[in-house]
Order: sequence, then structure tokens, then C-alpha cells
Amino acid sequence: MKHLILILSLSFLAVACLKEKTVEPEPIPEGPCAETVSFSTELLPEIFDISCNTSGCHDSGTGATGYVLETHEQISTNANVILDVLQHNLGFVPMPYGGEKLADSLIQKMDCWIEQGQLNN
Amino acid sequence: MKKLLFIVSIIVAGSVTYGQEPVLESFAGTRVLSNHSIEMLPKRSLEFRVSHKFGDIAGDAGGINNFFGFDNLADVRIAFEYGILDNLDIGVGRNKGIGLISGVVDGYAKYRILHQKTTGMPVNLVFVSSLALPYKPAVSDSTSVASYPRFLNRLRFTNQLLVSRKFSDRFVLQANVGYNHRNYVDYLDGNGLLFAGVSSRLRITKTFGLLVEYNHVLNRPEGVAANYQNPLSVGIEILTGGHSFILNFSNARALNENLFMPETTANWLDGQFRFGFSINRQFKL
Repeated sequence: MKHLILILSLSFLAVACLKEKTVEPEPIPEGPCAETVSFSTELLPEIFDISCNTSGCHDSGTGATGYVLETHEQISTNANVILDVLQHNLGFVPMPYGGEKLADSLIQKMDCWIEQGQLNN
Repeated sequence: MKKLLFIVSIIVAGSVTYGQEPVLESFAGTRVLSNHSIEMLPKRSLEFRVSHKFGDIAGDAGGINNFFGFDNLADVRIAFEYGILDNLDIGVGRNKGIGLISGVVDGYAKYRILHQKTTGMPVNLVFVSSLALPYKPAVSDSTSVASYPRFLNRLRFTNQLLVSRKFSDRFVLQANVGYNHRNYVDYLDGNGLLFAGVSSRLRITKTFGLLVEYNHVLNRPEGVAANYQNPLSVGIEILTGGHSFILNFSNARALNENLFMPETTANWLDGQFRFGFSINRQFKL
């Protein structure tokens, strides 16, 4: 009995015993959006500078139908509408106006960029 | 006749007291290799202890490029340990630590419940409780085991019972069971781990012996079991006139039981074993 009391008093475990664990890591994204889309090096030059904010369309000088698509803020505000028109969804004016539908890979990038939180990167 | 009776009674009395002598020197020191042995420090003696483990001898990280691990330091522990009573030791140490658990202070208390006698008590029984505290600043990534949301998360404990018997001057066997508790672990891992182990000392000649120490973690959760190994150490003991020099080879990188019991990942079969040694000096206070 003397031993038992001594052992219990020596045991550091009596100090404080918690059962806490780390936060579970976010699953690593799979599929088409596995890589983070860059706004400045991919989205803007590959889609908007070529197909949207060209002279006479959605540039600051023209602003066709009220849309100017030159900066991150302008594009970000209208992101969902842009995706709809690029995908030629029903009820939206298909864009680029009077031109071919964009390549699927480019539309995918726009989709991923929205999913990843419309980063200004 | 009276004289003869006197002599006989002295012999009998002498043999009886001799028969109850405690059995000494089961192991050369307070550790078998990495883990505690049943040996205690003499009362009022202070032991200064420096333990060292090097890098992998073989495998991807070893070989001639870092001279078989000598260029790398796996862990180092500097400690002061003190025998309060013949049956009660305490100690504090500082470990370099391993991986994310680095910069660790540890403390322990060790109590001998039973002491093997030449006749009568057949075994030694010792209880060891230890605590470890990594003190470096927490990392910001909350998925990391070093992110410590609060101070108590840093603590880890190990309680062990050691039982041993010195069968002869040549052969000593020790078994241990214990419980390790970490206050903060990976979300897949378990906070509490049970382990059991065996250690042995085999003296082959007067000056040369072999040591082995193995611990098995019993309840590692399945999701992480494949990431971990059980610590296995083998040692060569060379006795040189009152001092014993132990060459330790182990897959365990750490030196404190709060680290090597739960955190050993290195695998003997991949060449991830290392050389280690301790230097200890006792001072009478």
C-alpha cells in the first residue's frame, strides 16, 4: 500500500492528461482543379486579353453592355455571369459575341478559378 | 568444543547474512541501452550523463558520404540525475529531439519497489515515470503535431514497470510494460500507447558482453501503424576496470522514452540504424 501511494504520487501522468489531436488536413484536390489557376499569368492573358477586353468590346473605352473586364476586381464581380456566357448556358448571350466558343480547357480554368476563391494571384 | 561451536556459529551467521545480500550489478548503468534499467544511483550521488546518437549508418542517408552517420547527429541528451535514496532517483535532461519534436526537456522519477536478494526475493521491480516537454515555439500549421494550440498539448508522459532477474553473473533478463501518453498527436494517431519490452545482458567473457533491448508498441492505430517501427537496440559492452563502455546500435533516433517509444520511424531493414554511446560520471554529494 505504501508502494502504491508512492508510485501514484511519483507518476507524472497525474499532472495533466489530454486527449487532443491535430486538425485533419484538407484533402488534396484531385481532378481538373488540382493546380491553382493564376489570374495574372493564365486567366487574364489567355482569356480576357484575347477574347473579352479587346478594342470595341469589354475594354474601358467601350464597355459593351456595361461590362468592362480589364482588372481582377471587374472580372471577379462578374465571374459567375462570365462563366455562364462562356459555357453558352441557356438564357445567356453566348460569348465571345459572334465568335467560336472558347476551348474547353480555358473554360475549365475559369471554372477552377471561381472554385478556388477567385484569387488575385 | 566451545571454540568449534563458536566457529560454526560464525560461519552459519555469516552465510545467512550473505544469503540475504542484495544482488548488485544486474546492468552496468541506469540504462540498458536507450531505456531505463532496474539499476539505481547510489544514495546522494549525482550523475552527469551525456548521451549521443549519430545518423544512419547505411541506407539512403548513410554510407561513406557522411562517414556512416558520424557527420550527422540524430539526438543528444545532456542530463543530471540524482539518487535521493538508494531506492529513489530523479533526473532532468535536455534533448535535441527528433523531427518536429525538437528542443525537449525531460524529467523523471524512478522508484525501486523490490530488490533481488541472493536468497528470498527473486526479482527486482522498479517503477519509472517520466515527462517530456518540447519548448520551441509552436508552428502555425494546425495540421502539424508541433502546432500546440495550448501549453498542455506539449506534454508527454511515460510510466513503466521494470522487472528483472540476474540469473547468473553472465545472464540478466529484464521485462517492462508501460504506457506512453502524448497530449497532442496526429488526427489519425492515438494519444495513449501501451508498450511491452524485453532487455537482456549476456556477458561472454570477463570484459566483453552483449546487450539487447526491444520494445513493442501494442495499440498503434491501424491508419498510422505502417509509418512507425518498434525500437530495437543491440549493444556491445566492454568492461574496462570499473568502467563500462557500451557501443549502442539502434533504429531509434531519440534518447528519451517519451520520444523513441511513440516516434520511432527508422527501419533496421532499410539500413536506418545508428551508433550511439553515453558518457556518465558520478559525483558524491
